[in-house]
Amino acid sequence: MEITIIRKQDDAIHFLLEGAHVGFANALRRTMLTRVPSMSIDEVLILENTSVMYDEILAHRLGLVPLVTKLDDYNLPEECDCEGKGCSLCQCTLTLEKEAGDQDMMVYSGDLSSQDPEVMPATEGIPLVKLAPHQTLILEAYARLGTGLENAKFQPVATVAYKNVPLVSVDKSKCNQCGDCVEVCPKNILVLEDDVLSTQNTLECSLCEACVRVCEPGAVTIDSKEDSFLFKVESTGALPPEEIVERAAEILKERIGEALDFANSL
Amino acid sequence: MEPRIIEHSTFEIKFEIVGEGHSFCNLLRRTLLQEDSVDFAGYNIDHPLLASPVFTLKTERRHAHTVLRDALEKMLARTEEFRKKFNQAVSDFDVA
Repeated sequence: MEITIIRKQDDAIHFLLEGAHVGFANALRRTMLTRVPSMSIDEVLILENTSVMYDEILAHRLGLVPLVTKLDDYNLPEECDCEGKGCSLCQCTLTLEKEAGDQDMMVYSGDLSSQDPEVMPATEGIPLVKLAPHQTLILEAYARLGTGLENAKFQPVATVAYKNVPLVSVDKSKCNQCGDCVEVCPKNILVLEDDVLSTQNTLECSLCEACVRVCEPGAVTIDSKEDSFLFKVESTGALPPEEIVERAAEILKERIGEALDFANSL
Repeated sequence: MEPRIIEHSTFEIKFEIVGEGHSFCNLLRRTLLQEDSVDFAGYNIDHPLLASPVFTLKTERRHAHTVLRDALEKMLARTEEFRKKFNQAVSDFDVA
């Protein structure tokens, strides 16, 4: 097994996984989506809402705001000593108090103030509701940890996807150097230089096979490497992308360990 | 995860894995099918919301439970290898 990081940003990571089978890649992907916990608002106490938005719609919008999560600081409610009733170890309170003056006003996710300075909306600019002049909004929201298995709002990832590594090969004896494939390629993989067709950045190839269709039969062939995967993991901002991958591997390991205990007991 | 035995004999095991889905079962199936002594490995989920996967394993020559144990050990080793190499790759990338 070989792993190479291709690109790493604050909210996304692209890496290449070689020498693994689809089952493993898919288990990892599904674990990231459904098993890695993250914080999200789950209960809202509305004290005053004179805006045009119904309380439940507002609560739903609040639930979808990604919150920066410190996984080591909080327990999953079902694993907490309070047995899920809600205590400072498994719950975080956020408050919002806004009143529009003589002008209308937009309430943003950044207006939420948190009891724990670490647990804050990942982005401040998410519009929640627009208040007309003199409308008020006062509410208290309770965030807790949860997994994507329960509700998609708890997913720490926006996108998590993989594709097989593309193999683009050119048969020079069959190529007539017409250059049509260079024109048609949306990712600019093929280049025609001095009447020789060559490839560049083949990892970018989306396997659309547009080049194969315009070319002489057999001149360009697109194949994919079955045991190599290009992963793309984009975080919602709840957790750093590399932490998501690492946690997913740990969770997967834990589950395999449980199954192994079962197999050993047979 | 709460596995529960349904049938167990020398060359065949049938068990239900409560609280799991395709992620784990497909990984286990794929890993088992790479073993020589596996005759059949597969799982069925009767209903996506109401039922748990039921895994069936049939082997030849070797005891079914030892084959299952070997496959799970392989899976565990591979996941640990992935975790280590991923961490290594991330720290190497940060340095470079």
